[in-house]
Amino acid sequence: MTTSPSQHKKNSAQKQTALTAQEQQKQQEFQEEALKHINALYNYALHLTMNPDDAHDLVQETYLKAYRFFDSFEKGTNCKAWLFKILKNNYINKFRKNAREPGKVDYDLIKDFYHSIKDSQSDHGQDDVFFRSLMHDEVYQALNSLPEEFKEVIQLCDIEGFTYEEIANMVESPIGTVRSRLYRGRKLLRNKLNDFAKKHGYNTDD
Amino acid sequence: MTDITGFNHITYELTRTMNCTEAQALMSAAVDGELTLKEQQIFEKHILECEPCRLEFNEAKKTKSIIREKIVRFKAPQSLVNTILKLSSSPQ
Repeated sequence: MTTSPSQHKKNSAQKQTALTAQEQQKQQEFQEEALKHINALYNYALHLTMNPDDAHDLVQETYLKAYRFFDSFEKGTNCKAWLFKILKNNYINKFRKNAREPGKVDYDLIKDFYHSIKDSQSDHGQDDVFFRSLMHDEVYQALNSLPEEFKEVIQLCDIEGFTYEEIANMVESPIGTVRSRLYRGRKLLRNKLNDFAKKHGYNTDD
Repeated sequence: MTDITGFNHITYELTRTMNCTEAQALMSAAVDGELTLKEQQIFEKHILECEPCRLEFNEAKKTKSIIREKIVRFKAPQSLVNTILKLSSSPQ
């Protein structure tokens, strides 16, 4: 049976409408599932790149890639962890290839970064002089001075709230390694924070 | 659970003492609520009896809360949000 040209035209128009509907559903699902994590991704990108323009590009590329491969995302699993993994891989490909030095921290940049923000979190409800004595940029500086493998797990666990299993998947290491990196990383961090507190004249021994 | 020799493994696990090296291996997971119930019980028993480990545990908890509270979170720029909305609204 042959189809008339008008019938053919009608069929392909229907096909196109069907595809568009499918595409529309994908768009809707993507925007509902993935877009809500944009702030977390942007912050993580800032931590990695230390540069707002690079962070912007990195997040944009991450979402573009995520959208392309959204069909391979397993519904019901953690979308945030999936996006973080894409971002991290993107970062490695992009910046390590370009021979940038991601481990090198520009402290002046961090300072500028934090000086532009008012202390909006002063009411943290903790009557702890040591805690209060620490400035945002000092904590940031201490965190950034840690070796990459410690900094990374602390960011993913303490800042982003991922589980050990999710972190292990992201850093491609066993859960036992995540545990010990967190233990050692927090110990190192504590020593660095103590140095800042002592500089402010606080006794941290009690 | 009692085995053929009459040895109760569960009671042993709950009553045995953990040494400091074992406690340190569980320290971060204890801070993050990632211990199993059994690990949690043995760990708690240890830090109740061991002051250095108890102090270290408290320090680790405090370090975590400092990071959580002091690291400023930024909002993604609206221009970035708009670009991504546009990207995911055009056919790929």
